[in-house]
Amino acid sequence: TGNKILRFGPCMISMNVNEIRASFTAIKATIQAKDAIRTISILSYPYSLHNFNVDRCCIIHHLLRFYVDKVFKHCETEDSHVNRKISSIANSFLSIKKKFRQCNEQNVCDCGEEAIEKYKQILTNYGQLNITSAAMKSLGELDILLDWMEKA
Amino acid sequence: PLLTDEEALLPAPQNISILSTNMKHFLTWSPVTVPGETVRYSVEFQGEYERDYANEIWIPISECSLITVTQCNVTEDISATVPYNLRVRANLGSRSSKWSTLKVLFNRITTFLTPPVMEVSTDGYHLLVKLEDLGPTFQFHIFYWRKGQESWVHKKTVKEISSVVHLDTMEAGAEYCVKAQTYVEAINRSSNFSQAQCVRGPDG
Amino acid sequence: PERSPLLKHAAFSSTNFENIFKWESEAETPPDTVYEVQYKRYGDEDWLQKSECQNITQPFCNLTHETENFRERYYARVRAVVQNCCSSEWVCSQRFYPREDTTIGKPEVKHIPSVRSIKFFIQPLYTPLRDEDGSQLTVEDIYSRFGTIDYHMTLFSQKTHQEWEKNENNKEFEVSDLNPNTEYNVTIYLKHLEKRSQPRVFCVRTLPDNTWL
Repeated sequence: TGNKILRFGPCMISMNVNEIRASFTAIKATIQAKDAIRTISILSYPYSLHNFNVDRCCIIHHLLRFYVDKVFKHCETEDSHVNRKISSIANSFLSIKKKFRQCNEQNVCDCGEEAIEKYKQILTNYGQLNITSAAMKSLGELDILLDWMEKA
Repeated sequence: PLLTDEEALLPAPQNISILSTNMKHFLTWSPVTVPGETVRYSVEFQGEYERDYANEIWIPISECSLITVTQCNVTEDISATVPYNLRVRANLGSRSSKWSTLKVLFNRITTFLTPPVMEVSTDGYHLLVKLEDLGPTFQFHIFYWRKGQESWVHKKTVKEISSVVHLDTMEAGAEYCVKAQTYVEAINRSSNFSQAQCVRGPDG
Repeated sequence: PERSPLLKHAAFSSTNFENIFKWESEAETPPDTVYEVQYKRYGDEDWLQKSECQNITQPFCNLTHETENFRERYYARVRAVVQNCCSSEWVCSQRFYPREDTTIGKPEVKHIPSVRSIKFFIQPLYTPLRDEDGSQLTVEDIYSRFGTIDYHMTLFSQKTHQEWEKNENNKEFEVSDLNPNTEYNVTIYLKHLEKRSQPRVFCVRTLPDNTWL
């Protein structure tokens, strides 16, 4: 079932990671197969997210917005099943993002220099590709983000 | 407004509503009847994400495209705890009616949770319980106690059911009672308790 | 004229983090066909040659140590080369993520039956990987870094024809209050988050109760 209370700095967010994982696993092979650029990664090597553990609240806040604003809407495919799973993931992210907003209003999500630099690096990686390729690559790396989120 | 000939012939489905029990969600509507014809229906959904971030697009549910029944299982698509909108229209040949849309957005947090169907049994000194499998979104909180020791209740959480669950080993000749409730983490809600059932262990 | 064979189904086959890159070629492959294998970490610029898998004839290549960082993602690719003729296109694997994509093998289980109970001892599942200090890592070592591991057991009594299941979080546990001289069918598998090992299925008989003889 997999609902977890994940800690991101001052924010404790309950989220159902397994539902998101299940939706992602259902389309992972299709999405990753559309990403033929293997020399660039958004969230993994050489700037692997899993090595980054400061200001988690700031990073997750920015990454949720990154996915909701920049990624999901550019990932429409010709496959209705894939589109429905992307909708499921996007709405789950929105649900988590709303919980974060509540937490953020009560707490300060510190953004230190390292976190800002980290997020800039992610945007730089994203910026190296055209919008659709970058969005599809980011969606194909969702498991990297979910793993990092569960490390809380 | 004046209806075009097309619309005048094919009214939109009425009485559209959601029936949701134990996280299974069904869209239902009243049939559109055209004498001598088979009317078909198509269903689409729209999550909060689509409304706020994706130009209010609607997403077709392929399993409920051009169907003849007046019900659609939307469980797989209502897969986040946010408000969803759903719509259905009638189709007859190349003609389509207007869309009928839910009057109130649906959030799965309102699903009706029923107490779990439960069967308590023993295998020698082993206290066992069989529970209805409601799918991966469900957990079961099982409480059991020895009759006469009601203040000492044991709790076991079961996340996955494939066969009968072993609760504990019983003392000879003692009677044990069991009750259970379901818990859905995704919406952080529990059902009411099932009726308690009691069984007696073998004598020594 | 000869032409290079078509390769297909190039994929990683992984159990307990032993990662073998495998592929198939179409039926009629020229006898002097050899294969070249390369690999890379996802996000790396260059493909790297696997030296032991250049000009090989078997349709697989062990890339365990080249893909040993189970937190990273990898690709491997292969092409066929026909001597004095030509070479096929590179055929690439899907993105390979050892932590998620490896299959956890059946756990080894020792069991000691008594008259009314059975003791179970689940043996460590070793991987080819080693820790910083060189000690061999088990599957449990690796996955316990990411979440809890427990053991799911199902027991079927040949006498009462009842089956029931239990979760244990220790590698050693005892099931008591059983019937003497009774055959039990046991299934045990390892559980970690949504991942399950292959099941170990076996039978064990409790000892006869000779106390009144």
